[in-house]
Parts: sequence; structure tokens; C-alpha cells
Amino acid sequence: MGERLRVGIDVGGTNTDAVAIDDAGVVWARIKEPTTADPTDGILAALRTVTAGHEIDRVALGTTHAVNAIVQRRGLRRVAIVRIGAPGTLAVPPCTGWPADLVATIVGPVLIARGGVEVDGRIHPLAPDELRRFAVSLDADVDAVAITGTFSPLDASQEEEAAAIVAAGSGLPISLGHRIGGLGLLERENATVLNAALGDVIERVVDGLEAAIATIGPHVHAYLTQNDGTLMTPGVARETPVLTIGSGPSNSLRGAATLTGRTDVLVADVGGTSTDIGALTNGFPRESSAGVTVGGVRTNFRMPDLVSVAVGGGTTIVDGQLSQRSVARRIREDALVFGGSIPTLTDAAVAAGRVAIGDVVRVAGRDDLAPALGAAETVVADAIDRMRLSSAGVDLALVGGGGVLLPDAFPGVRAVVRPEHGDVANAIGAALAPVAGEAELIADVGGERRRAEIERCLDDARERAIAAGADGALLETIWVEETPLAYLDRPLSRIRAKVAGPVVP
Amino acid sequence: MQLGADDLVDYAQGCAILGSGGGGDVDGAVLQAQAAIAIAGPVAVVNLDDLDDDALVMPVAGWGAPTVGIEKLGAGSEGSALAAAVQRWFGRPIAAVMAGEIGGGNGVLPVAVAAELGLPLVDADGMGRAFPEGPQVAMHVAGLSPAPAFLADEYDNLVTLEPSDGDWFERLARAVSVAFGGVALGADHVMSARTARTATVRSTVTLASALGLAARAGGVQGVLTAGAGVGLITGKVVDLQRRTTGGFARGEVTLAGTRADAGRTVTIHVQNENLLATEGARAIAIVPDLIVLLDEATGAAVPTERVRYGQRLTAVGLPCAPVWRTPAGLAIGGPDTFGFPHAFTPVEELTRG
Repeated sequence: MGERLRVGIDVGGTNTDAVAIDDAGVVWARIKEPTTADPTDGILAALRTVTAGHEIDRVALGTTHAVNAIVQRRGLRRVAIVRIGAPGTLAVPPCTGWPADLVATIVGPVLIARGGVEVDGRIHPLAPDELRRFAVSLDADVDAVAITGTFSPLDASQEEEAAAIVAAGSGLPISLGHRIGGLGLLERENATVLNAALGDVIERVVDGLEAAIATIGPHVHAYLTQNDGTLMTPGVARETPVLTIGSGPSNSLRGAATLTGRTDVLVADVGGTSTDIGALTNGFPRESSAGVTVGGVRTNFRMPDLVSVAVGGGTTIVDGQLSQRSVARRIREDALVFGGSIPTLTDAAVAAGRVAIGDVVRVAGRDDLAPALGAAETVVADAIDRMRLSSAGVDLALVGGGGVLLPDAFPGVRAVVRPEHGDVANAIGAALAPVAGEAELIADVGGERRRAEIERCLDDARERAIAAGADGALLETIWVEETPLAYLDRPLSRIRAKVAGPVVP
Repeated sequence: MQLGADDLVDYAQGCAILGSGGGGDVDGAVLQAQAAIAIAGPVAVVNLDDLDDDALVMPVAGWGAPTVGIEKLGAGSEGSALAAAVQRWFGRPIAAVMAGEIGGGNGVLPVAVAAELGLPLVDADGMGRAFPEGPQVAMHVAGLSPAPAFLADEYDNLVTLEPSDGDWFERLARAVSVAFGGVALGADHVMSARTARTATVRSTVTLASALGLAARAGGVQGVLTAGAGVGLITGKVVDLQRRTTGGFARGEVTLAGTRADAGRTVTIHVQNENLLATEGARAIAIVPDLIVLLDEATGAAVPTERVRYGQRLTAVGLPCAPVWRTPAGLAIGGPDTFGFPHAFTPVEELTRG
């Protein structure tokens, strides 16, 4: 004893997984249970199971609460929207193009206020009275305010100034755009409005998590994982709940990195319904260049670059053909090997002798299932090929509960790695996740200034990572990106940087 | 024909295809057009033959840096400011709005302006594709002056330019857009319908709608049929080089063939737009013909900045508007303009046999 363990919990659409793991990556306890109707119940049960008899240092939770709330339009706050930029930006009012039912659920009064920041640093002044009048006019139907100003990722001072006025006039919780997203006003504003709407949802999750953790001992730190697979404190999560969306795939990819000890490898996470194929670069998920759409709303969050295909343990086989459907969490009732009557890919894998699950005899001689298994392999092989960066051979880590379905060889893949505990890679990724900081600026990079500006951006990112709880001495640069701005008279570049490091012990 | 909020989806996809990888952000322009149509209703599309000879046609286009444009959205009143200036100058009202450049977001933005002004949109544009510079328009080939040109921003600034030629127009308009803060809405080459009938690229709004519909209904094959194009290669992005020189985003995209094209390698040379496709030492499509990268599965156009390693794409070549294949057209939009040593040869000849 005396070993202080970390707990990772990942709430997915099908299963809630949890592990207790030590610093060396040794798994001391683990559990995989169907996700409960109220996910919090499953989280508490999982936590009790994996912590029993162990001393716990910290608990990290990755959850789909926020995504579910947006998709189902449930438990969301009603949000007043302030955009700073008038008379600019009036051409496209907030929430243009949103699904009507989401607008009806969360969108309250809207103000496009005078002000805004220009790319060249000029600031158009606010009209404080206008903001004050709006703030005091908000009635009891409004629960929160989202404030987004033009170019606020480059200069946040005006959003902060407006927030002070609106908070004083309304007393409502406020979400600020520069804390939520990068350049792209409409996408950042969308994400900020969703963030404000998620306040109650995240309160319940964080309160539940903290209450549960209090029962397993003092001095246990709680964290949530965010879409890039890094940690945030409950305090930060309360401020930026929308950043918890999409943490699942990132957790799986990070878990695969830990389990395989590799920093550059393809990862296939095979679940009950689908297979996600992503790539680890420098130990972190390679990110998609396009923003993600959440509940019908465009955001500019960077999510893991994934190819998802409808191949999972519960994928059904209809007339010998691979279908697009899955029995999902009913696999233990419906699949042939469990006594059901619906042929699934799990049955095909068992019939092919690839794995022994359930009652093997029930699929004896079912050669007719083999073509569907072959078709599934072709679909996955094609997806793997799409994720490869070059014609050079790569290794593939197979994780997730359905990894056993897939063979040990794919075209262009040097080696298929099946790490132990790969079926709970997502929970392991959450348990061992680092803390990151990101920064963004637009600067003149002419002459010799490029290096200094990149360093300035990295410093900003480091400062944020340390503020979020990272050990400043152990920060590593994850990526630096430079995008030149075309059609201007000066060599302006948009520079973005991300650093990450372990949590301060 | 008219363009309502629902029609914009196909039309915008067609504009993205005609953008040849460039032409600016389409999604943002669609939102602006949707917002304008929500207020003013659908925009009528009018044939130049149905306008009076002296009817005034106002071409409009957005200027500036796309990265600025995603933050610095317009006020939605810039079109009115331009129209007022044009009407003051010419002493008669504008009859219709035209896209200066049909390719990319600049094809969609004029829909918002037309809605704002309550005017029809002409079934024509200045390029039939996207080009990086303001004077690279059919009106310039036809010998029209860009002057008077007008640029407006969201702070009620209006600048009138009387440049002496196309080069000065480009230089001055760029300087104004930088002074505005990086983007501007402009009107130039204002002309009568009589002049526009021969000085523009005709029927391109119809073409864009048809291309978008074809992509949605028939994928890559649909686009090839609707655009009378040729497939250059179907393959996977295996190399991607990007750099910026002289204010332009340059780079190369290399596709390694798959399926029937296995074993072939084609490189697309990019300078804001896709300008040249080569296979080994041989050119297989050359600007001003359109080189478009389509998602192999959906037929949707993939703009330059969205190209990623590993994507499965089909590169297609679409013949450009006939005006660009004339000596005068090639002089301002041909391979030489972009520093390529290749002599222009139509894509359908390059890929034959």
C-alpha cells in the first residue's frame, strides 16, 4: 500500500469505463458497465468500485453530459447574447443558421453593441450606457449572458470591460468569447452561447463529482477532461463547460499512447456501434482542420482528426450483408452468442474463431457470417489508409471493447499492437491526461521578428498552462502553427501555439 | 429563376466549385445572404437580354484577407452605400447587381447585396471562376475601364477611385482595403446592360446552381457532366506544401492515384487558386481552365485551405469561359501571368488519349 492512484472515468454513449492506475501505468482496478440513464449514477458506482481499498490522489472525468444536453435540448439555460462590433457585423445577426428549436430553447434578448477590435489593433470604443441599459432590461427568463467581441482572441480587454458592465447591471453569470474559441467570430460566438447555456448541466456534474470524491477521502483532486484530451479543474470546467464536448475520442487516443508507450501511431478505437480511427502525433491526437458542428451549430473547436465508420461489436448482419446499424447496448440480449436472434459482427468473429465470447456453439458452422466480417475489415482498412500521412509503414494500436473483431494485419500497417487494458483506454487516457495551454496572436513577422513573435505566443500558452495547474518546469510544446494572412501590405501571420505538461504533484 | 434561402445551398456549392480552390470563405457569405434574404425575400435572377439596353449593372466583390473577413463581418449596408455612390456618379438608378467573381464566397456575397438593395442579380459574372486580382475580369479583356470604382466599409467610409488602368486599380484598391482594416466591399466596371451582354461571362449563376445540384445528386460524375469537365486523377493527398510569398498563399498538393489511377501521381500547383496540374514533366490542366479538387465521396469542392494529408480527392479540369482562351484573355489570366512557363492548351486537349 502507500501507492497513491489516479482514477480515470469515461462516460460514453454505450459504456461507462473507469480505472485506478499508478504513475507507472499499472492498472490496479477497472470496471466497464453500461452507461446509466442518469450518467451521474454510473459515475458514482464506477468510482466506488475502482477506489475500494486504494488511496486515491486524483480523479479525472470525461463525460458526454454536455453534448447530450445540447443534442437533446435539455437542462439548458436561457442566454442573452451580446456581440461587440456594431456597426460592423450587423450583416449576420447572432445565431443565424441555427436550428429553430435550439433558438427557441436557449436564445434570449440579443444586443449588437458598439465597439470592436481591428486586426491592426485599433479599438472602437464601447458605449457603456447601451450595455448598462441592456443589462438592467434582462428579466427573470434569462439565466446567463454570452459576450463576444470582434478579434477578442487578439485583444480581450473590451470583452472584459463589457462583462464588468453587464455583470453589474444584471448579476448574471457571463461567458466570454476569448476564453472559449479562436478566430472566426460567428463560430466563437456560437460556442460562447452554448457555453453559457451549459451552466446548469456542468454544475450538476461537477457538484456530483466533488460530492462523490469527498466520500473517498480528503485531498483528492477532481478534474474534467476536455476536447483535446487534457485536464481542467472543476473551477475552469464551471467557466467553460462547452470545452468538455468531444473528450471521449481524445481520451482513447491518449490512453493508447500511454498503453503502447508510443507517441506516433494510428489508433483504432472499436466500440459497440462504430470504430474511430485517429492518429497520435507527438503523443497528442492529430487535430482536424475543420471546426466541429455540435447539435446543428458550427463552432471552431479543434477536435481530433477522426474517421468514423459504422463497424462495431454490435453491428448487425442482415441477409449476410454488413448493415449500418448496431444493437448497441442490447448486445448481451440480441447477439446470437448471447442467446439472441440477431447476427452481429461479434457473432461473425466468434464463428471465425477469432475470439471466444458467449456461447460459441450457437454460431458453429455459420460460415455465412464470414463475408460480412470481411466487408467490415475492408471498411476499416480503407479508413486506416485515409488516416496515414505517407506511404511509409505505420503501426496500429487497437483499443476499445471491440478490438478483438479485427485481424492482426492491414495493408500498409507494419504491426498491429493490442495493448493490455486497451478496452478501457479511454478511462486510462483520462486518468493520465496532462494539462495544456493554448494561445493565439496575429503579428507582423517581417524582418527578424518571426522568432520573437513565436516565442511570445509560446509564453502566453505556457502562462495559461501553468494557470490551469501544469508543472511549469515540465511543459512541452505540442505544436506551433503559423498561417500567413494574404492580401495585406505587411507580412502579418496568425500564430497559434499549444503546450502541455503534467499536473503539479 | 430566383435564389431563396434554400436555393443558396446548391448555388453556394457551385460557387465553391467554380472557385477552383479559392475565392474566399463560402460559408460566411451564405450566412450573410441568408440573413439578408430573411429580411428582404428571395433574389430574382435576371438574364441580361431581358434588361433595357441602358439599364445600369453594378458588379460587386469583396476585397481583402479571408482571415480578417472571418472576424470583421460587414454591416450589411455597404451595398447601399456603393449603390448610392454609383447612382450619384451615373445620374440614374441601378437596375441589377452582378458578381464580379462567381468563384467562392465572392459569388455568394452579391446575393446578399442584391437582397439588401431589392434588386435582381444578373445571370453573369466577371470571371466564370476565381482569380486573385481585381482587374482579372472579362470586362477588362473587353477594354472597359475599372473606373469609377467604389469601396465601402461598415463605418460609412466610402472611397471613390479613378485609376488610370488595371494595375493601378489593384494597387489602390488593396491599399484602401488595408486602411479599412483588411477587408472592403467594392463596385467597379459599372456598365450598361448593352455593354454587359458582350463584356461579361454569361449564365454563370445558372451554371453555379446546376453544378451544386449536380454535385449533391451525382457526386464527382455529376460535376463532370454539368461542367463539361474531365477527370484528372482520383487519389489520396500524399504531400502538401504551403508557403506565402508576395502576399499570396502558394503551395503544391500531390495526389497519388487510387483504383483505376493507381500508380499515377499528379501535383496541383496553388497560388490562392489551383492553377496548374502536372503529371511528371507534363501539364494536364493549365490556368485559366479550372482545376477543382472534389471530395471523392460527395463531390463537394475542397478549398485550398481545407486540403489535408490523406484526403481522398478527385481532381477535375473544367474548361474556362471562352474569353480566357483568347489572346487578350490569356494576357491577363494565362499561365504566364502566374509565372508558369507552360503554353496554354485547353484541358480537353491535354487529357485526350
